[in-house]
Amino acid sequence: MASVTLRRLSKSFDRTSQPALQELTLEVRDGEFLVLLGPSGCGKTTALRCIAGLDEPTDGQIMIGERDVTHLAPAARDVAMVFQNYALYPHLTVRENIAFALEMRRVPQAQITRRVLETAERLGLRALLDRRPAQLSGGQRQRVALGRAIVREPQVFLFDEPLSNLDATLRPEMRGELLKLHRQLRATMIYVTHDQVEAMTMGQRIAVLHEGRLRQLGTPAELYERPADVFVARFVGHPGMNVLQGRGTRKRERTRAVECGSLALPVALPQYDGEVQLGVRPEHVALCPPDQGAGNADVLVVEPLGSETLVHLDAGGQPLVAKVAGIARVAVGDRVGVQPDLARLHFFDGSGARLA
Amino acid sequence: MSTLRRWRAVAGAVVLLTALATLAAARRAAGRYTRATAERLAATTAAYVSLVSPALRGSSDYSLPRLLIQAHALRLLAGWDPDFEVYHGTAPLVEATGRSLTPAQFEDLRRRETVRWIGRRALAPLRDRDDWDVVGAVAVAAERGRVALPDALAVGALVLALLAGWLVARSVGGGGRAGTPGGLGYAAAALLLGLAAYGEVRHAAAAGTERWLTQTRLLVQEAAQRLPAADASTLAVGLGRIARSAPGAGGQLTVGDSADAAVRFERRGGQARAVVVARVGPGRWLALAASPAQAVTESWLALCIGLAMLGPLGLWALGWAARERVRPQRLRETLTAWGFLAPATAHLAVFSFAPILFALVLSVHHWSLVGPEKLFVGLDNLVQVARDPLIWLSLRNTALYTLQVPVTMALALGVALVLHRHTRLVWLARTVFLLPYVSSVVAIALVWQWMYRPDVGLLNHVLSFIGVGPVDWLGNPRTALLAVMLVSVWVQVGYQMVVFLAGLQGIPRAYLDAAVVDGANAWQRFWKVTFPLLKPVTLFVLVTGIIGSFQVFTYIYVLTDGGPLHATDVIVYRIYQTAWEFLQFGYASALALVLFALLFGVTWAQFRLLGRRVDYA
Repeated sequence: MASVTLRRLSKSFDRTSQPALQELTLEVRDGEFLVLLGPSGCGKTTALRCIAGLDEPTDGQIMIGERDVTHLAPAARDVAMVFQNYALYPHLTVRENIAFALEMRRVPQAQITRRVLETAERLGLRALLDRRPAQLSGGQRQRVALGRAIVREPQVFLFDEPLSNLDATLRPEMRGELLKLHRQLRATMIYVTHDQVEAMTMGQRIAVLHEGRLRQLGTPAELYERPADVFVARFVGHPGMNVLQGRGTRKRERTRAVECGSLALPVALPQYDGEVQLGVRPEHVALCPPDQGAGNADVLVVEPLGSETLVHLDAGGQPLVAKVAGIARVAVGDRVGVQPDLARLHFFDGSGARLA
Repeated sequence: MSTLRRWRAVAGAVVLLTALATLAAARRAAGRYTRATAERLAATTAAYVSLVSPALRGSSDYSLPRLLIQAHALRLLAGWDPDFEVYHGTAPLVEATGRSLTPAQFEDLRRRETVRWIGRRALAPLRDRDDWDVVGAVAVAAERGRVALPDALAVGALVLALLAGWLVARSVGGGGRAGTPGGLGYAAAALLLGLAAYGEVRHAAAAGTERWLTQTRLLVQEAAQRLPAADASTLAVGLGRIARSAPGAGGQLTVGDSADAAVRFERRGGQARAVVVARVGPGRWLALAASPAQAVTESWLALCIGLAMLGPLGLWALGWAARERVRPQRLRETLTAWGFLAPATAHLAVFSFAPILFALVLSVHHWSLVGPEKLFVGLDNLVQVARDPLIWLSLRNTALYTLQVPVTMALALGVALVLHRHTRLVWLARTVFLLPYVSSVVAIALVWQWMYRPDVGLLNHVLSFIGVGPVDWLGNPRTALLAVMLVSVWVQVGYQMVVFLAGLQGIPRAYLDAAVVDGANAWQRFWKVTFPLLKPVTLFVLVTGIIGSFQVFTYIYVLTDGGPLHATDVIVYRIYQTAWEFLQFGYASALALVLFALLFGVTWAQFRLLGRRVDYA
């Protein structure tokens, strides 16, 4: 097992377009499950391919353990990768697929047989060993792809959105299995996804990437509670954080407030000059009768989900989502009062960076 | 309900009209044979008259009194029954009070010198003794009574077809579906009607041939008596003109053996003949033979059955339309679909299926393209194919030639692998490699012919630098096939490379990425991943390559003509030569059939052996 360290890693595919990765510095600890999270095109897959050795970085350094592997061939890095569409060789059986990497490395045949059987046992693939990928369900293929990685006992596992091709109902199950596997193997795993639910539920730490840059690195709780900027705030959580454009005002000596659309929030700010962006999670927005909260808003859409209801509001031209427990008794077109939890507000400056 | 009644009325009309049309076509065909017989008898009679009538002294025209006597004598000839007339100039001789020819009719006959029709009478030109000018005419009337009534079988079939058709027509638009016992019964009855109609045609054809033979036999015997006594072979030559005079009869007169006066059918030298024996003197016999008209009546069979089957087909279509009319949307869609399919279907039918069927028919016949006769020989052609050493040689050459396919494939795959990596070069290289494939085959062959020339060819010139002596590439039996194969490789590589390139680009990148991470080197990646995934493409290229290789012709035709010493004689070249140089179309068709069977077998085997694992997800 080993740690993975990226130092100022950059990657450009051609000179004209924006680089896919810009000076990414990241340390993945030995035995850690780290999630690279970001929207498509953020560079997370590029980072993974650079670690695997499938793409060569334009600049920077990659260390696995104490080894500098930046210019090593993929085979020499001792990493295993699970691909988004599994990349199971269609002309080989499950057994041959799992054994492929060992055979390429000329592992003795007896050992191959034993390790393939062990792996199949662990993943519940014993009965499927002689089938071809085309005869497997999505979940089974996923397991075979995992088996192909596990059987090699590599230092580092790389996952490239491995669950995105699965049915929504299968995903929670596979998430659990992956985590169980991580506990058993105690291996270093780097997991790329664009699904923040996967990231939050699986990652010990999450690295949020956007436009080739690292935006925040932290535990799921840190990301949720103290997002480093507006992008992370909006990207993490479901639905994402409300971000309102506001302007601080100083009415009298003691009552200072931030005005955002139709809301006026009496909060203390270090300074009140210029624009401020105010973030509040939907679950921290309460609804009340008109004129009793921080301001009024019009109901645009109501999404009852059973245990909770999402109420989309128009607060003086600014969109605002409130997540209310149970079924909310509001109708489209109603005017309601809005009361955000003042203790759980987030402030960002005009460029999106967190204030305090 | 009234709409349904109208459908059924139309169906009834279809039944009636197709049945009558079948019989009418048969009647027309029979009439044509009757008229052909009249034409032949007129021409034969003219030849007879010309032979037995002496000329005027100092002229090539006949002596009118002698001509008159011969004409009258003919009427009194026992057994001679045609309704005929002999004209000298425009004047009738047999019935002097009969109508004479108009000068215009006579002039027409003189100018065209072939049998003309005036009313119901065939008019053959009567030529002078020197066979130089037309001096008169012989008219023979077409028989009337012979084909007046259809025979019992035809009448029975007609009644049966009408009855079955009426039963089916009555239920058009009802619940019944196509292929019901009623419909099948009608189809069977219609088939019977078509066969009966064809039977009439065949009967008329046979009757015509027989009548010409029996009547001409009388003329031959009569003419022999009027000529100075001679032996049989002299007579056969002297009277040969009578037999040969009839247009299209294929008449021949040879020395024969004694026999009774009946017409016999026999086959001699692969040719069916109808023969009758004439006694031309004590112990002297001549055999008069003709091509039996009934041997070449296949097209009438097709026509009669085709017309008769129009009834069941029409009723089937009507029944379908009547059932579908309650769903006009679907009816319209189906009709539209067929409308779109029609041009392609018609094209395929006319230019593919029909020739295939024709080749199938030809393969069991002897046919020389120039003669009208196609003699049925069954499997004789195939037996001959198996016994022909040249065929076996050409098969061996074809198999050897096919060895160029794997070579080409290996080269093409190699080039494709190189180009697949270098994306910038692909466009240019692909074009360059594909150019030979899209160029004119003959032009390429001519260029290579020049390159292969032993004296000024490029190849020998280049080889002379490394001290390899001049080789007559195309003239040496050892190198000729190899030289042609080289041209084929050169042409095919580009095409196969483009196909392989497309196949390579169709392999998802992830498979190769996975193999890289799994530690496979380039060699392993190719053999373990790329090549297995290319299997469908490889199979396609292999199958099309082998088929194309079996069908090679143009390079052989232009470069070597199958030579030297049959060293490049391949099966298609053999087919070509058999058909178009030796004019043995039946034999060539049988060969083509053998080629088809071979290709079918080879392709089937390839799919069985290699295609088993092609169907992955």
